[in-house]
Amino acid sequence: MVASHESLAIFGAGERRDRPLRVFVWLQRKPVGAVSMGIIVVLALAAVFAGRIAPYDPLAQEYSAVLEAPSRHHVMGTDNLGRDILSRVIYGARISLAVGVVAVLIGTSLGTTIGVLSGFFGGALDLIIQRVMDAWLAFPLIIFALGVLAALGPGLPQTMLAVGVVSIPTTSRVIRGSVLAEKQRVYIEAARAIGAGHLRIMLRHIVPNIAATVIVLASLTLARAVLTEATLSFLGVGVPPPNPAWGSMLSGKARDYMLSAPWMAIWPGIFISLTVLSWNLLGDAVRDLLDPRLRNA
Amino acid sequence: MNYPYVVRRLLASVPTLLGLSMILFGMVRLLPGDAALLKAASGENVTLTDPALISSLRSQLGLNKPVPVQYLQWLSGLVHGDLGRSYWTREPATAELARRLPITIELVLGSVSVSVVAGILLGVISGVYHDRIPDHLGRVFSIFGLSIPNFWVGTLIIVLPAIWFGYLPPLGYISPLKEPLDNLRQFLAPSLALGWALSASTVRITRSQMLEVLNEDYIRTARAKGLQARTVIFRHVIKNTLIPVITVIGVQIGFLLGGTVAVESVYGLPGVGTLTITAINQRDYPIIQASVLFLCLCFVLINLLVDLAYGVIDPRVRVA
Repeated sequence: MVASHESLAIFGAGERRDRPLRVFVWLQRKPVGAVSMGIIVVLALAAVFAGRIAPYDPLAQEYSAVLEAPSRHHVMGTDNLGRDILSRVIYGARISLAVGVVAVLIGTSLGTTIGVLSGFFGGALDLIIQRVMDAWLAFPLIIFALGVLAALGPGLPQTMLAVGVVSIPTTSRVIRGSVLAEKQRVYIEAARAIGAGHLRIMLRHIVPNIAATVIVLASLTLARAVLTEATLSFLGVGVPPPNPAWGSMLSGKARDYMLSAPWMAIWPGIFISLTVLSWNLLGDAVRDLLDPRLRNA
Repeated sequence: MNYPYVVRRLLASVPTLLGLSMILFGMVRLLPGDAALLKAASGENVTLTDPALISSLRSQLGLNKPVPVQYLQWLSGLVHGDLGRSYWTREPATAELARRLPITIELVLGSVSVSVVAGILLGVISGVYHDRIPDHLGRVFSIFGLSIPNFWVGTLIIVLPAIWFGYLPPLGYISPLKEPLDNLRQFLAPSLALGWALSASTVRITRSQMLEVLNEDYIRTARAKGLQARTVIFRHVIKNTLIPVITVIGVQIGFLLGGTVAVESVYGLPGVGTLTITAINQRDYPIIQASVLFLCLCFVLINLLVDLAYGVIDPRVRVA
């Protein structure tokens, strides 16, 4: 069967002007993932350009406009101090996404390193590391994050660290599993046979082959990180008021005014859910695309 | 029942717990400020700058001794069943814990029940109608459960019925001994809030197990015998599906123990979670140590129970 121009075009081959945009390929194969990616991009852009997009200053209190229902002037209404909720939500995106990204960078890089070392070298090192990780997991994770934040004090970088550190044991465990699986492969044996040293095998062979797992795990960890950050700021630790962290917008005053001004409690929650949902769906979609075998993991 | 194995596992967990207690002890004392300072600052005459008061409080609480000595004292107390006294209320830590524990346990049980009932039901449906509409709906339900913060769901469950029907559940704990019906009504909402996220993993594992079991030969034999699909499902499929589900549920309980904090806070339930967070803020070391160590102990025990249960239920898995 001769491969026609059209079918080649789907794979990105063929002449430039015939090639449809890669985007349409993704949309076709995994519409849910593409939509999630779109939502995430929109949220990220909103976070970055918050200064231009937000109609009001998120910290500006206007006592004449306290507890206003959503209207033309304040699309999401105002809170008990007269602050515009839409602006606070937009700036809150900045906090959530910043914490999420940095926390995942910390957690994934450290967790992957530990997992690779543990899985690759095995033996006593592996045993010790795994016992430590098991003990770490026995520790209630929210309380661990609370402890870290109590030690470091509230604030944005401290929250990033706390949330990042919390994800290390799970990440290392998953990565270790992948590394153990990869170690059995024939190409590793071949690499050793031609004299490749440990570092070379780890960096040049194992890591690129577990990259798919790492990416999927990072995406799902990011979802979890946003949720953890929201919980921490809800509990009053984490990013402190008056910063418009979505979680803290849901606690305290929002609860007191739950009945008279429900919009205070509804909008931040919707955005937390939307962000976490998008990252979860993106992670699932990427996993299905890169390696459907991982589906039941 | 393989007693030597059980004993060995229990003994193996002792060094883990010991190590955890040491780390906990050290970490807790790394928190800036201590109970003596906070107490002095909260007294009637706020004499923050009175070092004499602070140091006398410290020696009262035993905080001026070197840390290893404090640890050994605490450890010897532990062996005698004495977990120390709260720095703030001077009540024994065991009493505080015992008072709060039933509330958290009820919450955990409620959430797990929701997870089991909803999860297994949806998982079976998803498995039987896999890749069709019910399966997709089940997946949507699960992924929403995983993404929506449980304290927000908890808040909405209070807010929305209040707005729509003018119904407000009682906030603040009601003991089941005094008003059992009110107590159940009160715990329904937070259990739903927590249980939704849990049910996500239950649905997933039930579904994948269902799919595996449905492809087995003995199922095909049963169908070939002429049994109705319903009979096949109830008599053969479900029993074999539930084995790993039980392990997952056990793990969920373990993770849930520390995770009830936010929901307890929303519903005003004085459980172990709120106890721990208050204790952390007050630098109340004995309470922090007691409750965290207790949670870790529960986690370890539950994991052990789950492993044993697996061996009991599935005769093919016998621990060596």
